[in-house]
Amino acid sequence: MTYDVVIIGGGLAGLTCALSTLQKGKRCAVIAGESSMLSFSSGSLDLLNALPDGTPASEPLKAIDTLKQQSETHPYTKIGVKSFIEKAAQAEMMLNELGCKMQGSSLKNHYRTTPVGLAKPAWLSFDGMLATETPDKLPFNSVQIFYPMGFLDFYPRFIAEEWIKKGVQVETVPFFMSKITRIQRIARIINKNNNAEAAAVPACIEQFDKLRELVNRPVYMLATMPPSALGLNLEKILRRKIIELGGDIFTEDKAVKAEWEGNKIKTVYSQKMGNIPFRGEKIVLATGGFAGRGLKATRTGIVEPLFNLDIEQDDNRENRVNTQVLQKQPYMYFGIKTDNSFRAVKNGNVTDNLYVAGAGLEGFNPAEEGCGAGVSVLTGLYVGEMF
Amino acid sequence: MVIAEDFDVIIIGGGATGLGTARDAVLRGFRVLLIERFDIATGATGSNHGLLHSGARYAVTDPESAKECIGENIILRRIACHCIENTGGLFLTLPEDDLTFQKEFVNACVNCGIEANVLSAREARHLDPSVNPLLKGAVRVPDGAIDPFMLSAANLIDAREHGAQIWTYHEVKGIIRRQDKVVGVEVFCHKTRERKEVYAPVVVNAVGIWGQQIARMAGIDITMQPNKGSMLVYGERVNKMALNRCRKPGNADILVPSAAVTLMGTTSIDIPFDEIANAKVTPQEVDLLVGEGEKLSPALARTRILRAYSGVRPLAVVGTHHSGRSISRGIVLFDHAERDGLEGYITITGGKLMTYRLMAEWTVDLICSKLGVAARCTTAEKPLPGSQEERVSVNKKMFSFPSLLRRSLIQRHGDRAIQIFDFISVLWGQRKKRSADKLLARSVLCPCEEITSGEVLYAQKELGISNLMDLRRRTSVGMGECQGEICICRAAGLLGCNKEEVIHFLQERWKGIAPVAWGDALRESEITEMLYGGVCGFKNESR
Ligand SMILES: Cc1cc2nc3c(=O)[nH]c(=O)nc-3n(C[C@H](O)[C@H](O)[C@H](O)COP(=O)(O)OP(=O)(O)OC[C@H]3O[C@@H](n4cnc5c(N)ncnc54)[C@H](O)[C@@H]3O)c2cc1C
Ligand SMILES: Cc1cc2nc3c(=O)[nH]c(=O)nc-3n(C[C@H](O)[C@H](O)[C@H](O)COP(=O)(O)OP(=O)(O)OC[C@H]3O[C@@H](n4cnc5c(N)ncnc54)[C@H](O)[C@@H]3O)c2cc1C
Repeated sequence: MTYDVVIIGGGLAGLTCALSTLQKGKRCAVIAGESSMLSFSSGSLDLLNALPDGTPASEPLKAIDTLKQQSETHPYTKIGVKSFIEKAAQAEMMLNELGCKMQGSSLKNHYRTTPVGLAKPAWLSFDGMLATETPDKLPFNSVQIFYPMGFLDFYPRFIAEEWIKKGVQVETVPFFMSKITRIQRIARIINKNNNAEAAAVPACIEQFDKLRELVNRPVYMLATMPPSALGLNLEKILRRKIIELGGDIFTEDKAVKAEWEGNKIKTVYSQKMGNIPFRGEKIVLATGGFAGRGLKATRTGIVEPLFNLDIEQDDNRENRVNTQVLQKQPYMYFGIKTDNSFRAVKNGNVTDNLYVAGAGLEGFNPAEEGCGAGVSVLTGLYVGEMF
Repeated sequence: MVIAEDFDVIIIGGGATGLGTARDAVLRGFRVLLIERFDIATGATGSNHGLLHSGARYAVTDPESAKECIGENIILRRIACHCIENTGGLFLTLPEDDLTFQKEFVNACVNCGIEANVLSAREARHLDPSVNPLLKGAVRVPDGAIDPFMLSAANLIDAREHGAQIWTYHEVKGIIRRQDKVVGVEVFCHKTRERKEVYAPVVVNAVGIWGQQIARMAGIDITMQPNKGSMLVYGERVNKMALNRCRKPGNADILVPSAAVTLMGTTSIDIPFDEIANAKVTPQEVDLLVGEGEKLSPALARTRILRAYSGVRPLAVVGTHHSGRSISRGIVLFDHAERDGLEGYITITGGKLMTYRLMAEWTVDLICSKLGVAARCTTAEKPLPGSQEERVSVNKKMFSFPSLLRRSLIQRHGDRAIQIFDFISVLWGQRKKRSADKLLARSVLCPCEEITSGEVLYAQKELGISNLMDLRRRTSVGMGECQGEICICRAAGLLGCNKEEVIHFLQERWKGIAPVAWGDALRESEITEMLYGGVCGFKNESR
């Protein structure tokens, strides 16, 4: 099977990369592994919430100049200021065209509401989610949270606690919902129990747009713990568009090895296609970080399991982790070494046609800097456009 | 300062020793108060290897301990059968070990009354296919596995049901003396932040390694030597039987299968007192355990390590300070009236988890003689709650419960599963079809361990838990493969815990994972960091 571009990994990075290559008229295949980190997503995408030195960055486009000075290997530094601004705008447009209506922009972060009611900065949030301009002001004085009884991955009590601190009156209203409960019924329940200015529901409720039409007051969506209905929906939309544009997605398959010719990958083999090779002018590795299995830690070191690429890491095992949880974790910065155009480095040499995009890259910390989705989308687009 | 009601006996320390003493004393008719500064089983009892020794390990070097072990081994199989797995044990002679030791070992076992059968390498491989195929020989002994959390909970439940008071989250801050007599203790309640005084004619110091401090509060000197031991938890049951090395007891030479996991241990390192609270598992210890473990059972090399933990052995220094140190690995019972001329004060320490009952018996015998009461110990005959009814009949009573859930509930609670089942059935059977309780009752909260929300609600109501860590000790929520990644937030939501508790739980969990953060352990950790730090936004909260 011969393509212009073969992309390994079907997460946010692999899929956006596929879209941008297809839009340039190239032929492209995606070898997509098991479900990506989008299934854990909050329903919001981060671009940049803080600089590498910890300074908050409420206006990502303005902060990017300083970021460049603080980190040489950061993916955003490699993309460069101009392209960063361009690609961020392009991503916003692309999502809109796909019919993923989003709130927010790269000019200024907004605040999303987390599944436990805290306010966190974000770049883009799905339309309908509760997004605010500042962390401490909500768009209502009283609200009712409606949620399905017995649903374990949503915490109305935590959310109520936080909102009450902000001076809002909150009531939580459990209702009975089964697999066959129709959206009209849920709307009727919300309309009948009208005790507050606004209503909120967990994002696991399907057909939210319809609900919004049927309910007699403002209604907002709130993120749940995984699986993330919103993240999975985004994945579905991206995949659909890729197929529409003539791309091939090999789902639940797995790249297993490649044939090299010097510094160049000639062919890639996958688990399901057996000895039928994938050939591509360019190969993109978008297999994610540790979570996506694009990186693997062993007792003695960190490896890139597919091609054994060079990894930026600390050789001392003790220095990999911070013993305080939810603090800066050194292993998050580890990743695949690349040159400035995201070509992978293997045994000290820059490869000819193997590019890296997404969470497996070196030099950034998605947890500290709040830049996970941004790095994946922007590097995906950037690498895809280069071809 | 509140003056609380009087008791006959006050026991300090809610480990197996203290809880066993409380049960024994209350069964002999005393009014008992047990005081524990945290939750039960938070000391050595909650961080040991869980081997139900046959005594074989000590037969050569310490026959007295070996005899105590085999005696208690037989008793516990009867009275605490729901906490025990009769795995049997093998003492393997590996290529690097000296096969001549085997003979001395078997003789010593026989002299202590421990059944020890010499097996050929082939027979051993047949009994447990996971053993190192290069072994030169093996001896079969009646070792087993014992669950310390279930054992502690069973003693707590029985003591309480017979009228003992158990105050958890109460810390002893002082011992009240009147002349040459201890008459009570000063306690601080961590929840209400209140100080209380409580009185009793006998006070028992059963705080394990912290015994030195508690003794000093009464002006008495005893010397303890903190000795750290570290262990690894492998995420699968690799071996069928408890595996030991057939040589003099050393480091990293025991592999214990326990429920769904395998425990590899242990090291032995003396540490200063001020390091007990945050004893760490070092990379050197991890490497030693990994290497030696693979010698016992090569399949470990392909098995995921879930976490590492360490405990501190309560070793007492006996003999005079001048004649050099002689550290006892056996049971140490001090009657301070005899030893130091201080009435009403007893220290019980040393020993093993599995000799807790015997330690309790000796202690309560001494209490009886002090208080002039003639009451016989019955703990060797009376089964603990959980072990009182046959499995078959327990199973029958819960037949309408889905079989997977039933099996795991019985495994964790023995016959007390019936009570939990009844509790869940009341919720489940509610007339109102659409009630939250009903929907929750049988919904699975922790998929790794098959734990229902109903069981968690029961634990909250009946098993005296105050936070997520306590819940983990009582029901093993979060002990499985995922180490509580999702279920702990669910449990917090269900129990009405606050966010700080979730963060505290995550910190405790990370403490165990960080030393073995490679492979899937690091993968899950990245997901956890992103999920709780990022998606939930706890990151800034924990700063
Ligand atoms: C739990 C969690 C929650 C997150 N939530 C957010 C959020 O709310 N907002 C945000 O901005 N960022 C979030 N992030 C950051 C996240 O990393 C990025 O947003 C982004 O989703 C990463 O996309 P990716 O494509 O680079 O990697 P991944 O999503 O990890 O995708 C990599 C894909 O490659 C596949 N793969 C691996 N090996 C192979 C192989 N050999 N062959 C074929 N396929 C393979 C994997 O199965 C996976 O599907 C979160 C991260 C985690 C871990
Ligand atoms: C690494 C290791 C491996 C082991 N392996 C095994 C094994 O395989 N089999 C076996 O049988 N035994 C084993 N043991 C031994 C066994 O764990 C201990 O002997 C036993 O658990 C001791 O129980 P305890 O109740 O005496 O002490 P602990 O369990 O330590 O209980 C003491 C309690 O006192 C409390 N306390 C302390 N100070 C105060 C205060 N001021 N006020 C109130 N409460 C206080 C503590 O919080 C603690 O809960 C092992 C021990 C270690 C360390």
